[in-house]
Amino acid sequence: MKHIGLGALVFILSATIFPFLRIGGILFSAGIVLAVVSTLLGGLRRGMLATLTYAVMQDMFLSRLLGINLTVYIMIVWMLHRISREMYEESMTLPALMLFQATLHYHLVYFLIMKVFGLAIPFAAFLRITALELAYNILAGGLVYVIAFRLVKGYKPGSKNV
Amino acid sequence: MPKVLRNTLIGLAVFVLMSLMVISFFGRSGITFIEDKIGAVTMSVSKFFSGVGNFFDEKVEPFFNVLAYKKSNENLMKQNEALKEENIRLTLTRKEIAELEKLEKALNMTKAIDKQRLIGANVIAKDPGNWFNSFVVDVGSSSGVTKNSTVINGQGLVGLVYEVGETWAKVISIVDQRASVAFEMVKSKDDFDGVISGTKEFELICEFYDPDASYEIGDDLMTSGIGIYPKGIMIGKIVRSIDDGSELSKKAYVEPVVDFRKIKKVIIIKYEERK
Repeated sequence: MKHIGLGALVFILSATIFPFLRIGGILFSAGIVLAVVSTLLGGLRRGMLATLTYAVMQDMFLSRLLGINLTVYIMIVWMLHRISREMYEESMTLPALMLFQATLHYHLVYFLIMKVFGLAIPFAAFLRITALELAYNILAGGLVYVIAFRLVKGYKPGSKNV
Repeated sequence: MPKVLRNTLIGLAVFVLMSLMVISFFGRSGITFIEDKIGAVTMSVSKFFSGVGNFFDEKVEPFFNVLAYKKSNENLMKQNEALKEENIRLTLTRKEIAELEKLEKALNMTKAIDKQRLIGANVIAKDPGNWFNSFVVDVGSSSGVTKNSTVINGQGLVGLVYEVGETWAKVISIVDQRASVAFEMVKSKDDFDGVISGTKEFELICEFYDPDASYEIGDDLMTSGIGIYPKGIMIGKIVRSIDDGSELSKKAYVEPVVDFRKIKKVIIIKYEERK
């Protein structure tokens, strides 16, 4: 229940407060940040609950195609879970890599589905949006990961090695 | 879980998701009871957060735009000079306009949209993605909003109501919906008309009915009243010609007057089926 609430809260913030944080018309993806942080720190079940709540709400209230975000986010959380099992979670490289991977995955799959329905944006715009969002997601997501890591584990990522 | 069962479940999930997409792509006539109720709760929370965001945006925005204001001020002074000249020119044609107004009355044309059909609304949630410009407003079927109602703001045409809940409605911009809008030029002479369509490239293209139509870059276009949009709403201005070699049609790129990312308040014109 806590994770469903978290997903709903992140959706509401992403649709109300976060749009004011657009830089050059580009906004970081709160959904991807949520997927990465909740899956890496909470595991598959918690990651799925929080992210899919977010995805369902985005589809329901702001999407043209019902189910498109749900489809993409299910794939992302599953992929994140599979990859992160093999990696060292205390390294800051892990969230950066996962944010990179998830953003790329989201836009590629989203682009392909939209292309099927004849709603895809031009490829040049797609590349520009994806590149800018990648940078923004890694910055914002990295920051959120550090804060969430401290809240969950009680220490900074990587500090246990010292 | 056995592999066969797992694969069946995955297949079923893919089928359900694809079906949902196909159904919603062709437009649903209404939303489900659950969506409506979840929307009512979510949007009341969104309304609070949106209010907080708008409040801080109004307070903080001037600090970020100090330099932009200087340039804007210079532009406004130039515009002011141009408007003074325009004013003199218009004064000369005032008599002509008075005569036209008499004619308009005589023809029993409606000058403005019936106020009973107008509903004021606040934008309470915006698409957090970077692809589209859809948003949610804080009025729904209980206020008389119906699917296909026209959405405008102080600048001009914003879009259409796509789905309606009891206390909220989903709006899609004219650029995103890729539907056609009948237009006419905002000109007293050579006011040709035609159709504006959204393209796959998320641009607006106007196509004149008359292949010999003449226009200039910067000419304003407004809705002509043909189709679902009421007459007289500003759509945009012509920014670039299209030379596709065709002698049967004349086309140009149109820039919408509305900045879709900065919409906070809108007016909804209830959709009425033409008799």
